[in-house]
Amino acid sequence: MKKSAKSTYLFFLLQSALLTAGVNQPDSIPSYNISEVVFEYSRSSFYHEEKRISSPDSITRKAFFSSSLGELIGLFTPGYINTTGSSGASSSLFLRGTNSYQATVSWNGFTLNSLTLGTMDLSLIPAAAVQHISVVHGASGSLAGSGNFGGSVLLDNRADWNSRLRIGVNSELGTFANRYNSLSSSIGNHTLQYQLHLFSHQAANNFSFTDIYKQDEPEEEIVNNALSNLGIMQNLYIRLPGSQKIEAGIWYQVKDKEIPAIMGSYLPSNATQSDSSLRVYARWSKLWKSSSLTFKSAFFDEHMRYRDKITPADSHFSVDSEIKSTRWLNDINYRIYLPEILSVDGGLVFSALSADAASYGKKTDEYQLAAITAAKLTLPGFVLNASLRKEFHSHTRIPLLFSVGARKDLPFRGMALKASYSDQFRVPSFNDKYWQPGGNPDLLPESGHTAEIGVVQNILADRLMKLVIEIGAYHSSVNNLIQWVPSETNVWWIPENRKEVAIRGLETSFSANGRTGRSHFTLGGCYNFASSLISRTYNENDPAEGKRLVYVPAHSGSAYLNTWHKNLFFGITGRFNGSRYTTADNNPLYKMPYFMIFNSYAGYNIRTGELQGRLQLRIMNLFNAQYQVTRSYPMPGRTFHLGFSVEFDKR
Amino acid sequence: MKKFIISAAAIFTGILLLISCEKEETGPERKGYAGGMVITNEGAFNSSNGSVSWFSPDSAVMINNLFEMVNGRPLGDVVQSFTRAGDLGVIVVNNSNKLEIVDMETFESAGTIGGLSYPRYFAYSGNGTGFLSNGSLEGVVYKTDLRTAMITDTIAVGKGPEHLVISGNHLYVANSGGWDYDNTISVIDITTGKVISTVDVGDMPVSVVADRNNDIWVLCRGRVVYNETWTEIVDETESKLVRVSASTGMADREIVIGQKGDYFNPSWLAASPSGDRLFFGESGGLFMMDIDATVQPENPLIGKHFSAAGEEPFTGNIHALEITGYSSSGKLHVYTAGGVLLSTHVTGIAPNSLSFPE
Repeated sequence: MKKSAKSTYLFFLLQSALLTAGVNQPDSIPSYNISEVVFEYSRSSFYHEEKRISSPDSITRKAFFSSSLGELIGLFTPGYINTTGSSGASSSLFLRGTNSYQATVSWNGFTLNSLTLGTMDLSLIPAAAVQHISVVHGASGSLAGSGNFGGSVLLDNRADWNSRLRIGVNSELGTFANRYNSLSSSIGNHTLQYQLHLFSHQAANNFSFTDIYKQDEPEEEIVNNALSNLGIMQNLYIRLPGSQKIEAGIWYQVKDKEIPAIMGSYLPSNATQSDSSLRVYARWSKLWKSSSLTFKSAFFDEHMRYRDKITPADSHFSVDSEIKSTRWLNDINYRIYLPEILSVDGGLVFSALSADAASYGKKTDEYQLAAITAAKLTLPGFVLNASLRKEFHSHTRIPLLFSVGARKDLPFRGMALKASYSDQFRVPSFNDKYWQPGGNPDLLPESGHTAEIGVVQNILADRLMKLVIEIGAYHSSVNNLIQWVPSETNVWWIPENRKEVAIRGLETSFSANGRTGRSHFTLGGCYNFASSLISRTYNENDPAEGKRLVYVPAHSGSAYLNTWHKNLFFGITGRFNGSRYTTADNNPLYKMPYFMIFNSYAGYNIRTGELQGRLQLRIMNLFNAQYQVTRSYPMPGRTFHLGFSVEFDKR
Repeated sequence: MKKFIISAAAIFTGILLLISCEKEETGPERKGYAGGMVITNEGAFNSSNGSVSWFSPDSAVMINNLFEMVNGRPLGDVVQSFTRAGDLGVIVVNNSNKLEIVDMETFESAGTIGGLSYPRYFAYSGNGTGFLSNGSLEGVVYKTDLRTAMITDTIAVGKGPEHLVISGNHLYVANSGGWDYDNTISVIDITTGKVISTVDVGDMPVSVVADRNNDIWVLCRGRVVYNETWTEIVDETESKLVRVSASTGMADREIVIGQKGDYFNPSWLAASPSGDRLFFGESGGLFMMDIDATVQPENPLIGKHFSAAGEEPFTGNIHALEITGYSSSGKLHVYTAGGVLLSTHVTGIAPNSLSFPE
């Protein structure tokens, strides 16, 4: 490849990546050199120009530095976060009108979703621990693997090669004994970088709520709701001669959460849940003149224990359930850049999965192997991506998966048309297959597809003002939807392939940022409509046909405004979730009403040389809305959080 | 004066007509909601969507979610049972740890007793007093004053007390074992509140009813035996109907019912209003058995699995409840005494018990 042609080609790749990854994050794009951008992007990140990507801007991330991933995602996507309460409470992501187990979260390319449940509890992930967060709406099954009907959340740690020494301390005190502290640091040079993130989050969470399930609706204080979450994450990046790079990471975390009683209960709960995890990964990559080879491997060791007592004084636990799981995940990928217009990936993914739970009766192992190929055709103003995946499981047969997508610049300034089709699937979880009694190893995988089309418009009014508007429509289908239902004689519950779901949706978003003098603002919003209907049931007595999926709102959206003037800053975010049915027959008696929540923050930022300080007050649920996300689980009213950050950054 | 006398006479006549019409229409014993069936709908665990349905066997009118409709608040989580107590009704809401007392005519709340660890069933002994079974392991029966909504006495019984029935001056409590094991019923003198005897019956007794002779029939579900890791069922002991004689206080008849492999069945037992027939639910369907029988009937009366059933005292029709899942409404099926389906009606989520008008 001639040097000029290669530069043009690589520049186009970079531009495409920035356009898609940076739509909502004007301040968070790292300044990598061109070769590293191409070099480092995983298959999912490299072949997704046609996808809708959402990312939080750096201002939002700084203002909500103590948030969990679930709390943060709720601020910048139209995804619905279903939670059972205050900080630390279990929360899961419903994207594009699908269920929570139909979206995945990955860390540096490795899926984090629970082996046993299939879902990912977003309360377990401290958002500040990773540098890059992006949400791919309707991710491709052939690239991202199992369980991505709604989309995938990509969490990536990256080295900042320009940093020499950075030490940041964040601390926050909040209502209901909320205490969050973290230390983020990095040290290194152009060839070696080491990162450390330590965090601690404690909260009593003893907020008051109106118990509408009791006579005269008394004001009550929630008890047995405390949280303790401690963790450490370390990353190491090494550049080696010959365009090689090695990186490695380790993430250890222990979370203890008391589980409160539901509303209307006349006895406090004594239940607790402990989650601990050790996650380690390593990645080696080498770049040649027109190709690259990447090998990465990860080991996850996760442990969950749920315990309950009849009275606090009991030494005996009435429930003591424990699940251990380990995963060994491996991925090798060869990417070749053919002359000027074409790049092709070929990869293999091998996973060894193991779970040990009393409910399974024995230690249970599974093996998975997937072969993936993908190609990108790049022409001026046009990108075409296509991929194929064949996956082999030791217990489940997976069909061949295909995806194709294109992005075409239109003859209007900054406007592009995007369209894609992708097959999707979800392998039954370990609980679905092995839980005793009831588990069914012969369950079929959920399968389906998503087709979507959209338009994105980038308007750069001048150097000081930028506006991005995106609108799209999608159609998804899910066949063989797995649900747990009582057995015929109501003796125990069993999982069955029960239904087919048709989802038609509309997504739109906008983001703008501008600067005048020493003032600066970012403004954005997004909205999602999803009509998630059960199109067919496999059991004639199932009343769900023609009904909506439970807990999936038809309408959801969020908006934010961040402003600065000199050293002062102020921001407000709002979130809307439409009403949700909670029963399969869509009984209006049990329909949850819509809710709208606003959060706000304001503060003062000061910088002297390489030292930067920040003091802020954050108010969550600004208008003190009384609401429930999950039926009968109260949500906290207005809370105040006073925080400060100090950062030393030598570059 | 004349106008006044005419007016007074008209008003008086009108009042008389109203009173007479009212008596003809409902009768003094069946006024308001007391005149219909009450069905408890368990709801889904931790979803607080348990409810009460009301059904008129005469007009076939079903009113779902009655408690919330009248009282403006949801009933709670895992609605377990309902018992008539004179002019009052008692709703046991298991996972809300409470007992709700309602006025039977209006269904308005008349009190709440909270703080109960694992309440199950209630038996009314008269004079505003009754007994509540409570406990998943070591069990107790609470003597309860419904007028003051207070617990007045605590009586220790066996493990996992479930259904209870009053016959004569005695309260019989089925000690089901709960999350452990038991094979007894406790007999309590309702005057003294003391356990006067504990009778061995069979493994895991879950239900008790009295027949026309005041003898007690106990449904023993049988013990499900697990492997060491509690993940596989390896055996099940026999399910039985055991009769306890009212005169001797001893078990004097055993009828083996069901078959191996029908784990956790039979699940419920009911006596006919006349007390001469028993109904019970097995995996094969609803069985009807004469109290003089010595073996289980060969065939079910209705070949369908129900969560509860009973004979309506005025029409003799059999009313049976079907759970269609814990995320959708259940069904009430009405059959003739011979088992022919007459009608089906939608209930709340997971209907699990019914109470007929007295």
